[in-house]
This record gives sequence, structure tokens and C-alpha cells, in this order.
Amino acid sequence: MMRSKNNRQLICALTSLGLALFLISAARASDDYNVTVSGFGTAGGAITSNPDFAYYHDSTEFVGATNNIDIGLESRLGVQAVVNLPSGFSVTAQEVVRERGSSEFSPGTEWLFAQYAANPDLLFRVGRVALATFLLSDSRNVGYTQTWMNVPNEVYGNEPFQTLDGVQARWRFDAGPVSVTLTGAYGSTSQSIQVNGNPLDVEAKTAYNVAATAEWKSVLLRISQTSGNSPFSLPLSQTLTIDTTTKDRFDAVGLQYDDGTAIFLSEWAERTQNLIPLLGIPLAGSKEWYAAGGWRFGAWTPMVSYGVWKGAHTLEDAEGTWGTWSASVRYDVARNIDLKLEVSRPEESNPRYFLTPNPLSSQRIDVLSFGADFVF
Amino acid sequence: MKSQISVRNVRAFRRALAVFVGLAVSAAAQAGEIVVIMAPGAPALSKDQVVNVYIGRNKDLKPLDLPESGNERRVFYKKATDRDLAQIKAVWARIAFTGLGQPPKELPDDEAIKKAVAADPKAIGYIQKTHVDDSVKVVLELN
Repeated sequence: MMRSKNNRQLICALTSLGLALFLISAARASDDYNVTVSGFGTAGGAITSNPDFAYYHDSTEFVGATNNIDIGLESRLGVQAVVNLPSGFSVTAQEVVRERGSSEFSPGTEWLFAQYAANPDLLFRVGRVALATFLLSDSRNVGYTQTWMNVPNEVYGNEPFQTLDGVQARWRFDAGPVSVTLTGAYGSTSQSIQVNGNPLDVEAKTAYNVAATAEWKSVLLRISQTSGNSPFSLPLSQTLTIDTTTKDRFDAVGLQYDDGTAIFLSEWAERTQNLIPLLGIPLAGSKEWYAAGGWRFGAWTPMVSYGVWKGAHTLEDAEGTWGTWSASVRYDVARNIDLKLEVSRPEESNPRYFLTPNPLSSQRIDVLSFGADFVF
Repeated sequence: MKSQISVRNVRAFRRALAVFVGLAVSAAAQAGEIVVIMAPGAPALSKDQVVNVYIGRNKDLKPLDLPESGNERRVFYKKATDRDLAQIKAVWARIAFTGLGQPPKELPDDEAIKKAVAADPKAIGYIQKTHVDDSVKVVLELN
């Protein structure tokens, strides 16, 4: 699995690089191109009130935060270069340094694609793009774009993949006063994750993401479906191993209202998978939602959010329903810089908040995240 | 002696107050007179259409900005979008870092905006109403 993953990544990187070099050389010939370099980052940390349970956001993080300040979970630095070429062609590359898996801060390619814009509203991309499973998935690394410190774990913590290597198309049009955007992406992806503390390399083949977004004045509504086929082996005993492919699907609806002063955000999602042969249960499956509201007082934006994660009877997680309140405040301290503070009180048994939850406990743990986001 | 100083102080205070009030009035006057312009021949635009261009929703037009340090830009965004500059920056950061475009091009002053708008039928900018001349057309008044 590891080898095919590496091969595929290499092929994708080489294809994108080749395309980029071709387009740049074509542009050089005409002397009609420009390069934009920009960046973003977050310097932050997380601490909890308990030494025994490690707080995390999703399964790509192998080390969580306890009652010692952890800077790995909340800190990252990204740099993006866009090469604009004549006739609607461009190449975008985004590298982000953050904690990946169990290793220290390491760089990774979040976006690397060649784009052709037939017109400003019709785009075609080939290469690596963000996998936009949920409303804010494509910009979750860029803290400055978010009102809160972290997107809710209840929804965002379910998706193990964050990028997709393949093709993407995006079409925007006006339907009366409503701006409608349709996007579709197809390809494959891979990721190192941990399941209940055990490392695992997973991949998704023939994966797709389709989404429809409607924007009218201060309101945005998005409906999406994301699906992928992940082969995996499950050793039941020394002689019996189940080799199967999990068809993993997310259906999601997101609603956002932002009139400049009042903010309301809510998402609902359902994760469904086929049943594992012999066992009769899926690897993972859940229903989740959150609702959040905030108000801007000048440079200060306090926000309150409530999230629910309802796990089905699956191999990966315990069955049950967990609800968690969070409160956050953003302060726009200077041009291009904000400061944030966020407090959550999840239960020790909540699998979306803790690496190895205690299924028998309903004790709550205080989680404090803080940081400074910047763009440049 | 003491009373003389106090009279001088009162006069200085009045002068300062007059200057302050004058500045406040002129800032308010400026704030009330920002117009959105395009090249002559462009159709009038609604506020929603202008907002969609300046928050990156509609990419058919090329928006132009004045410097962040100036008052005009802050007033324009507040009047047009009800958002302050940090919020607008966050909107464009999302657009830029998802590979969907770059923030409006920034020009130094009203004269530069007029020149750019007059030269490109797709360009759109905002300037003080008192600076409008025949080279451009007002497509929206922000009151």
C-alpha cells in the first residue's frame, strides 16, 4: 500500500511539475506572465485540564495535547506561489509546514495544480487540490479566514483525507440575484492516520467530490457529496484475514449567514460505509452537526458553538452520542493579524476530541486553544 | 497672572476644538461622497452587484482599491458591504489561498483610479464624488 501511494504521489508531482514547467516555458517565450507569492500562518497552542487524555482534531494527528502546552496542534506556516500565464492559464502551489502524523513540523504540498480559466467563471484544474468535503475544508489551514480557532471536530474530524490528486472543474453563474457555484473533483488520495492510537496508511481510489453552492446577499447554502473506495485488510486470526474495500461516503449540507455584524454557521453531515464481510458492521459511520453564532463588536468577535457527534455501531468507534459546547473570541489586533482564544468542554469518552477516549466516563475535560493568525 | 494663563488655555482649547470639529465635519463630508466609477458607457450597477465584485463573488469585472492607510477605503467598504477592512481581508485571504484569485489591485489615489478605469471597460473603482470628471462614469453613489 505504501509503495503504490508513493508511486502515485510521485507521478502526480511529476505530472504537475511537468505541466508547470511547460506552461512557464511557454510564458517565458511570450514574456507575459507574473508571479504572486503570499503566505499565512498560525502561532498557537493547546492545553487541557487532564494529563491522561490527549486532545486532537482529527485522525491525521498522532500526538495530542494534555495538561502541558502543546504548540504542534495549533501552529502552521503556509506559502503560496501563483504563476499567471497568458490565455487563462495559471499554476498554483501551496506548501504548508505543520505537525504531520507523529513527526515534528514537516512540509507538505496542500495544493499544486495547473489551471485553465475558459472565462472568469469556468475553471479546470489538474493536479492536487484540497478535498472540500465540508463547507470550510478548503481553507481550514488558513486561520485568518476563520472566525473561530478551529473548525468543529464533530464534523471536520471525520474526514481522514484533506487533498485529492486528480482533476477539478468549477462553474459559477448567476440565477437571478443568486450566485451559484458547481464544483466537481475526481481522483485519488492517501494519508497516514491513526485509529485508536494505531498508525495506518489509508488511500482512497476513484474518489470524487461534488458540491453546489448558492450565495444570496448574506446567506450561503452548500450541499455536497464526497466518496472514495479504500482497500484494507483486517486480520481476524493467524489464518483468516478479511481483504475488502470500504466505500466511504459523506453527504453534507452547510449554511452560513454573515451580514458583517451577526454570524451564524451550521453544518450537518452523514458518513456511510458498506458493511465489512463476515462482521456485518461498517468500519466507520456517523451523523454529525453543529450550530454556531457570533457577533462582531468592532475588532472583537465572540462566538458560541454546539456540536453533536452520533456514532453508529462500527468497528472503529464506540456507539453513542456526544454533545459539546465551545466558546471562542477573535480580536483583530493589527493589520493582517488576529488573536484567538477558544474553550471547549468535551467528555472524556468523546472519540472526536480524544485520541484514546475512555468509553465509560462522562467526565468533562476543559480544552483551551489559543493563537495568533497572520497573512502576508 | 494665573487668570491670564487660564484665559489663554481656554482660547487654545477653543481653537483645538474648532479644528477638531472641522476635521470631523470634513471627514463626515468625505464619507458621504464616495462614488463607484467605470469607463463612460458602462451601465449603472446596484449595490449588490458592486458588493459581489468587491468580495470576489463576481469575477467579470476588475476591482481597484485605494491604499489601506487612507480613510476612503475604510468608508467605502463600510458603506458598501457593512464590513471593516479586517473582514474584507479575511474574505480575500480565503479566495487567494484556495487558488481562486487575488485581492483588488491597489492604486495610490483617486487620479490613478480614474486613469485606470477610463482605460479599461472592465475596471471598476471608487473615488470622492468631487473628483469625478468626463473621463469616467458614476455607476453607483454610496450614501
